[in-house]
Amino acid sequence: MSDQLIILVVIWPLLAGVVTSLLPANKRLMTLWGSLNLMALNGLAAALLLRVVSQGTIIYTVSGWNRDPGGLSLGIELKANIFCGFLSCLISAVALVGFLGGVCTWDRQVGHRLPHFLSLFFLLVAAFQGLCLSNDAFNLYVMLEISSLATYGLIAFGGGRAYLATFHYIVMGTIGASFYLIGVGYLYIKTGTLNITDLADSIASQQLSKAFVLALAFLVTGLLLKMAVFPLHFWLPNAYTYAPDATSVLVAPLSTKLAVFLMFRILDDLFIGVIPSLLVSWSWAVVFLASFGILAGTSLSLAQRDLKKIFSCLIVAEAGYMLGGLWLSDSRGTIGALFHLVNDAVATLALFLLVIAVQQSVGGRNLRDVKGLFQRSSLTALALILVAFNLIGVPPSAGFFSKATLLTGAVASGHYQFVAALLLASLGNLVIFFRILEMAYFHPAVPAEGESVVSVDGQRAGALAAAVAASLYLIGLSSYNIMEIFIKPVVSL
Amino acid sequence: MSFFESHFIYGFFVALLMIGLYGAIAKVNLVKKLIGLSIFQTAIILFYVSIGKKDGGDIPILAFDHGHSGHMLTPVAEHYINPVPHVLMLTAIVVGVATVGVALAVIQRIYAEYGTVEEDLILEKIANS
Repeated sequence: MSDQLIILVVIWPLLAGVVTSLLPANKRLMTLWGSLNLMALNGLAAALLLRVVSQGTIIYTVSGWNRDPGGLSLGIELKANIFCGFLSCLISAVALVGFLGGVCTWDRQVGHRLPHFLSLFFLLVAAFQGLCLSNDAFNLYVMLEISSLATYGLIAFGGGRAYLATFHYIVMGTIGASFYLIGVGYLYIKTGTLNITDLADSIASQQLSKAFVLALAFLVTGLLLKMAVFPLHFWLPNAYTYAPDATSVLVAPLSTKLAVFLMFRILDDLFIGVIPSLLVSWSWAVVFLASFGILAGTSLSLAQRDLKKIFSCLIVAEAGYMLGGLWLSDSRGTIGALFHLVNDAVATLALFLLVIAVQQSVGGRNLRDVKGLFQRSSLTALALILVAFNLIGVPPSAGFFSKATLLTGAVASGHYQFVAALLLASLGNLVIFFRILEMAYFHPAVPAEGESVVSVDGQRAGALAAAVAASLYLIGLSSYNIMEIFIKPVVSL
Repeated sequence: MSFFESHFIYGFFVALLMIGLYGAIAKVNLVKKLIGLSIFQTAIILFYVSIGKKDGGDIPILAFDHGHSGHMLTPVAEHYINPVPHVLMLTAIVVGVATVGVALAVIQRIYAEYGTVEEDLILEKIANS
């Protein structure tokens, strides 16, 4: 049974999704059913992590298609090293908290199609777990596409302007995944295998030919699209803004982060044998792109007035941080990027829970609606301050430590444009959040028609956002342990 | 085999790929964009299927001895084309069908919402509203 733990983490939400679509659209039943399943998933992921910690990396062959006597892999493999286990726990936790935070928006934004909505929600969680645990290049493509397809559906639930945003996302998402598929095809021609471990061995033993360079170029371009790095980002802000709030609390924290994780696997698992020569010649271009993306994302965010769009544009900037970190060709850069991935997933979750809390307590999410937030809902205001400090990078938040590690890596490898971009973006974040805080603290609330009490839903969402934002400081305080235990062992640079 | 004969398929693949990419990005009509996207995906499927081809290769089904005993002949890998890329493409085709299905449904909703599937007209309507 415990050998099957790793596949259960992927299959449980998949089966839960299938069953969900058959259940009646009863809100209380759905809340109970969803939270029970996600709690079970959290338990499974925690058990998996414990097992990985005690036994080391776990490799699982699906349907018992073990390796042939020659040692080549025949079927699909799942693999959990210590960071995969950690990431799997993070995905489960974000899904549970996001699910609970989204409950209060169902009535308004999802309505009677609730079972279908949750069915896609679970499918998306399953695809995220698959992306995190699969050790097969083609299976990763399938998981990438399942996660995208579920996301298209979840975003289109927003109605109205969400439809056009979804269509743009479909076009860009499919092109990105297809580029990845072409890259996998080139690797398959050269090596005859799809298993990532075998691919890495085979690549390391061969001469670096043009086909490998081209494969890497296709893989990286495809993932840049999925990560929404600046010039390829334009599908993201609208899609995340017009999506229902219950969608964006799951999609925004995890979707682009898993593309980053895939990029890490390609650089660090697949091409590690040949990469140093290739990486040095490319890294200047990619890090420059990342630096430009950070600044562009932050300026885009500065220009917005809708809270959800401000935060969506910040995701574009954050993708640049992680991309730059991965390509610094310095181990501290990679460690910083992976730690930033963890930090950013939690911070983005807090931001989008905050959007729900603001919407529930003041009835809008425009910058001017935030007026008087401090008088109305102190918990929401607390969450806003905590998460703002994290994004600006005030110690001891997780954001401070991830940026500090990225900066050390950037200075050590001489990428000073990246250092400048990081510092400028922190300044930009300061301005962005100062604008919001100024509105929320100094401006009195616009007296609405008699209603001065914040709804219970608003209070709850605010409390949840504050709890998630507070956990950022826990992550920050234990940053040394997280980096030493979970991240350093998997970085082979 | 001449260079043209052995590399023709790659040229064809790239040409199809570029036609599809151009359609998906440059066309204004959403349905035409989707058609471009389908051509783009089909080009990749063609590419993968061509990988498996071997000169003189047979279909990859294990042959049995004729007669009643039904002994399996010892398979020689060189006699069969490589089935793995074909199987992979079965999955990719399913993914492609699902993508087109979702995209068509979304286009239908866009048409219901704005009364047109021309992107510039839709953006005009959004800007005016």
